[in-house]
Amino acid sequence: MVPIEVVDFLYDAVRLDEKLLIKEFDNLGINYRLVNAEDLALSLPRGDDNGHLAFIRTVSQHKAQLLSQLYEALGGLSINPATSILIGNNKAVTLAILSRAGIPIPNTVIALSSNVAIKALDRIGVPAIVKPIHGSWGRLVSLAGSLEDLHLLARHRDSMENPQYGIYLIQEFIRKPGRDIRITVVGDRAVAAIYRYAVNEDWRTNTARGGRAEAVRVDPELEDVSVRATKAIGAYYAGVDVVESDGGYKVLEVNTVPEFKNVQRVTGINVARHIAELVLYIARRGW
Amino acid sequence: MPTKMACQVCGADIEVPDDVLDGELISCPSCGQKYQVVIQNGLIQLKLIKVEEEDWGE
Repeated sequence: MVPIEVVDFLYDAVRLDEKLLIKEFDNLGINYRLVNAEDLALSLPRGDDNGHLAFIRTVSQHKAQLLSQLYEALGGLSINPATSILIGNNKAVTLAILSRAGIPIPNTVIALSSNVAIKALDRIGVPAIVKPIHGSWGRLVSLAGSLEDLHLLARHRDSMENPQYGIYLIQEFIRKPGRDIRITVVGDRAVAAIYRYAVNEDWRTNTARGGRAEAVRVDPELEDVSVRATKAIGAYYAGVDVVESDGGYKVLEVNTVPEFKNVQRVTGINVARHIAELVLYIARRGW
Repeated sequence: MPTKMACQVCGADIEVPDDVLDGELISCPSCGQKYQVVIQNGLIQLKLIKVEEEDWGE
């Protein structure tokens, strides 16, 4: 095995998360170079200059997917691996993989047209969550309280030009105690977790929507489902969203370029350090 | 000394710290408009960003 000498830290917008990571890369003496994805002009053929290690931290999901695939296509490595980023960016495929791995998830129907979505609603019942299969931060996530709600939503969606809005992910609404759990998994461990509380009457709990947060004591069951979910999609580290239901924990999604600043702030656990140590381990392990 | 720049929306002063990184996100303290810092040849500029137009997420 030959250690990897330099890590390409790929970014577009630098959030607090990236600043915390850069600080820990420095503290650990990791040899890295900051690469602004928007300045990148990749020339092909590459000659002998092929395999590199990419640490993908772009906020743009398309750029994250493309960069991880390009690095791997050229014989390099990507953290997270391209396959896991592709899966994580698609909630439908993520749920299919979790289902196959026997990890508890909410009952879900994926419908490829609005007509079918309307017909399939009774398989889930109301109220139901209706989400796009892509996207983050709770955007375009709706709560359908009745069949009429879904008809109205479908009319709105049909008028949108983006074809991805023709695809529906309909999910049972877990009557969570007004909160969900974000667990940051690094390697084989759930290193930190927070409850995210919904704000006022909003039933969404994303901290990007202003949700309040509180530290969680990770119990063995929570660690087990979140680590298994991360491994099932093939990620080295991830932000796993989990809800508490009467039947135990259920995994909603697995984020492969996760934000963790709120987890770090609320728990006081240096999540960035854990991630930087993982990157160093993979670089030292090498090819 | 942090650089002071005027918000393009409300005109308030935005303090850009000395150790700012290319690509960093900052907000106007007055109106909340988000900007991305662009540093080219040592020159700092603020680019208006509309989060809803990006494929941004985590």
